[in-house]
Amino acid sequence: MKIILKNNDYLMQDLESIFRKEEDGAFLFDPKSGNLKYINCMGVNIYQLCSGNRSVADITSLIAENYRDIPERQIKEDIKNFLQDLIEMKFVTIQPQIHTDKRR
Amino acid sequence: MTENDQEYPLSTIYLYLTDRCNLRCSHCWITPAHNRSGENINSKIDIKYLKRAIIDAKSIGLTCVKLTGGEPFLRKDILDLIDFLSSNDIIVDIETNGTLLNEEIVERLNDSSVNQVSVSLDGASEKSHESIRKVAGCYQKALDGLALLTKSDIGTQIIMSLYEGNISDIEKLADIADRMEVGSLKINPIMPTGRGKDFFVNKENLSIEKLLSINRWIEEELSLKYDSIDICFDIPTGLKSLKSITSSQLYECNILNIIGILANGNISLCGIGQTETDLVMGNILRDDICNVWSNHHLLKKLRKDLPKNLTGICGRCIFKFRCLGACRASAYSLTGNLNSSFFLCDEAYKSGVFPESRMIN
Ligand code: SF4
Ligand code: SF4
Repeated sequence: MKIILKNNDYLMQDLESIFRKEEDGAFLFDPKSGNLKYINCMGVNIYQLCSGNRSVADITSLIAENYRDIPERQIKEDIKNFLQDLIEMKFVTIQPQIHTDKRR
Repeated sequence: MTENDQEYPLSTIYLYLTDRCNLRCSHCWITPAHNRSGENINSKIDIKYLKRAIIDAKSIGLTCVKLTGGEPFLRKDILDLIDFLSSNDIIVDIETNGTLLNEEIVERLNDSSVNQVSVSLDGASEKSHESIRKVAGCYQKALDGLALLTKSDIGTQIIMSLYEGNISDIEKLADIADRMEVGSLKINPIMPTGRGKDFFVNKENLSIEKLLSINRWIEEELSLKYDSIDICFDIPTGLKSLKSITSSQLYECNILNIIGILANGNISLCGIGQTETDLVMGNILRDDICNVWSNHHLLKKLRKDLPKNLTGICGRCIFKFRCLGACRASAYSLTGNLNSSFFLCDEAYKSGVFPESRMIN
């Protein structure tokens, strides 16, 4: 089922996945399922921001700031799609409780 | 289709149409018998049995057949078989030494479902190609065959077998491929199987350090020189750069979805049954290919073992789920064990050049 990601979802790296950084990107590998994803340098930055205390909106804004030459709407869309992939492959999870806290 | 067939469809058959060849290549892993005259010959297995096996295999997922050999065009009924495959919507790939192609054959191929013809060229001159292929005149004939193919709509590829003696031909072959508008150049380091073993005994194979430096040169320089040809250096994924893993087509073996039919009708794990008879699982003259695919203990074990029970560096590699340990046939012929690690990655690991970032535990 396709996950619909909301701007106020908080994201956290899956701690059992293996993250391996290389010169021009990184690999994410899940030893249980064998899922493997290659990510480029922008992907690495996005993944590293998924530390549990940032929302989708925080992450997209932080990254978009560094890529001012790309239209904001487009880059935010791309980042969301990328995050959605990470969630579907279980490299990143949505944190329900922080989400609730933040709304107060 | 049973549940098992859905999980592991038999998508490709490697059809070793004949065990004969009109050349005598020193690196051939099949070690075919030489057919000196080059005249048409029919191998032992009648085409009607091949057709029956193909129809049966369609019911368990068959979509593609690779015709190889020996030299497949030594069989005069190859065109009849290709017509049959086309009428059954099976995609056909062909590996040939190119020397027996002529206008009439290429025209027939062009009207069929042939997707790609790969022609073996190991050198960019008569001297270097023929020093390994051992038959005078075969270089020009291969080039002529390739030229006919490039004028058709069929996809084309040059396959080069690489050893110490022809490193300097890589760029020249890429130039030829570019000039002739060939789709791709695939470079296979010679394997220590079949006649290729002699290259290792004579130390004419390339060390892992050399292979890695050639790989870097191809990725960072040579590939950038050409707009339209795809250059594939066939070393395992674990030894490629991240950029090339993500940006170019990887030639990975899908051994869990492939079966081989040898020239005598033997059903084998790809072509390895030719030299390793333990890996023959039946014969299409007497056995139902679907039954072999679903129930043979060797395939059942392979499905259970790959990639979970790969050993050595393959067992520790993050690519094992997609790479499946590169060529299982060569692993078996080197160690007698289908789960052992692939010799090139093993060598890389032992020399300390296997990338740390791709290892677990
Ligand atoms: S170590 Fe084995 S699984 Fe990993 S890339 Fe090499 S051959 Fe493939
Ligand atoms: S096991 Fe080796 S020879 Fe057989 S199909 Fe795979 S790569 Fe090719």
